[in-house]
Amino acid sequence: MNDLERMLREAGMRLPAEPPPESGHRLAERASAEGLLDVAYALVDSPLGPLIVAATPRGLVRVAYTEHRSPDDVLEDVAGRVSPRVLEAPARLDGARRELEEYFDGRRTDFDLAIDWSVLRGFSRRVLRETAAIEFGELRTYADVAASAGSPRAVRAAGNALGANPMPVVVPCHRVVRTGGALGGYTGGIERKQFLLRLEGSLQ
Amino acid sequence: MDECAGLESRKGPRGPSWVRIPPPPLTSPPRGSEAARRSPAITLDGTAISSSGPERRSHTTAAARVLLTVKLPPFQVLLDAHRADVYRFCVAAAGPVEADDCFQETWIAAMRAYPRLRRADNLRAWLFRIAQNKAVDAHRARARRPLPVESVPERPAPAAAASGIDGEAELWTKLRGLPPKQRTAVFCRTLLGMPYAELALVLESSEEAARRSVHEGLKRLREEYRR
Repeated sequence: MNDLERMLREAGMRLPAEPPPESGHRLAERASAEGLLDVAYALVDSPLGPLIVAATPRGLVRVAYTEHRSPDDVLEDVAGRVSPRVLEAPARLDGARRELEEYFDGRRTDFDLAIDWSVLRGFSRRVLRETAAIEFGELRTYADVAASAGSPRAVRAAGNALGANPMPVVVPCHRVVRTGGALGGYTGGIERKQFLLRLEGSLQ
Repeated sequence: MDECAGLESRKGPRGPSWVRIPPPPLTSPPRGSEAARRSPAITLDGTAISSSGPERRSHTTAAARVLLTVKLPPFQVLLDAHRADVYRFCVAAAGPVEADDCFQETWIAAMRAYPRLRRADNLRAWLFRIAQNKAVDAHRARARRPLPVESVPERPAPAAAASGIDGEAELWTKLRGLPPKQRTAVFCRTLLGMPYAELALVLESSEEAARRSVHEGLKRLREEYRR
């Protein structure tokens, strides 16, 4: 009696546990073709540590540093905000990966990526859209951004929206500083803000 | 489609045995998932919401609130947690040649139904239910093919090679000869050590019937060997 079960168990352990290597890619591509891949993501190396980059079919929805927050945590957050149909699909993010690499290499000053703004609402969205228009090498103050987003007195709210920027680097919240020249805070830590501003020549 | 229904929509009348099913131990919960963290109370609440009758009504509102906030883990987490077991199942139940198709079809169907799932407390059972259906489809597709079975070699593809030794190939062939439910029951019980309560969810049966399926399946395999 137990012989058969033991035989099954032992044979079972020798069954291949890994589908063919291209299987994951095929799955993601098919899911995408059938409109099931709501969020594709990839891990991208950068001088600021590995980044999680995620996109919907409409465009980029998330860029996240992975040092303060684990990739799993970021993905759970994305699943909750956008859709739980999240798959690792690096091929879907080739454009974003290439542009980020060029930017960090100093070969790119402007991202040419579609952004999916639909997960952002109201004032946050306006603040971040204004921020997206700040050019490489330029700096704005929190007050400037609040004003251009239509609420000159909502400086603190603008700061909060920037602090919760779901797409750092690509939506360049690092280009927003305090009135008077202090750098202000940054989602990924102040040393990352300094790194980015140095890279852009805005900080010595 | 069957797999589009969440675990809450089992067919047929719900006997008290269902209510008594203890929350299935999450033997391999997706890491860090909501499913892993949530209290087993959801199982019972989930039961309450789909059962009718006035005595249940007071629970229903509370259950609905809980269910509306069910957080599904990112699909990739589910895939990472169960990829290997699902693939092994496909190799064993659909055969090495059809395994990858069975695997792909399973995950695509799961992904299609995923956002509509109302419960996340036993995603493994839900996945294996889908995989079982896809293995059956693979069998049907093979049966429909004009080629005689003999001319479809158990290819010495990597998968077949890894399933190894001749005796083992024979074992899997015999397993594939079982009726689908017994096949699934034997696999899930002996290879994954799946608890009967969870197996009952996979088979959409009572716990008792799940036990019987394992028993019958093993008995039949043993008879095959005696022949």
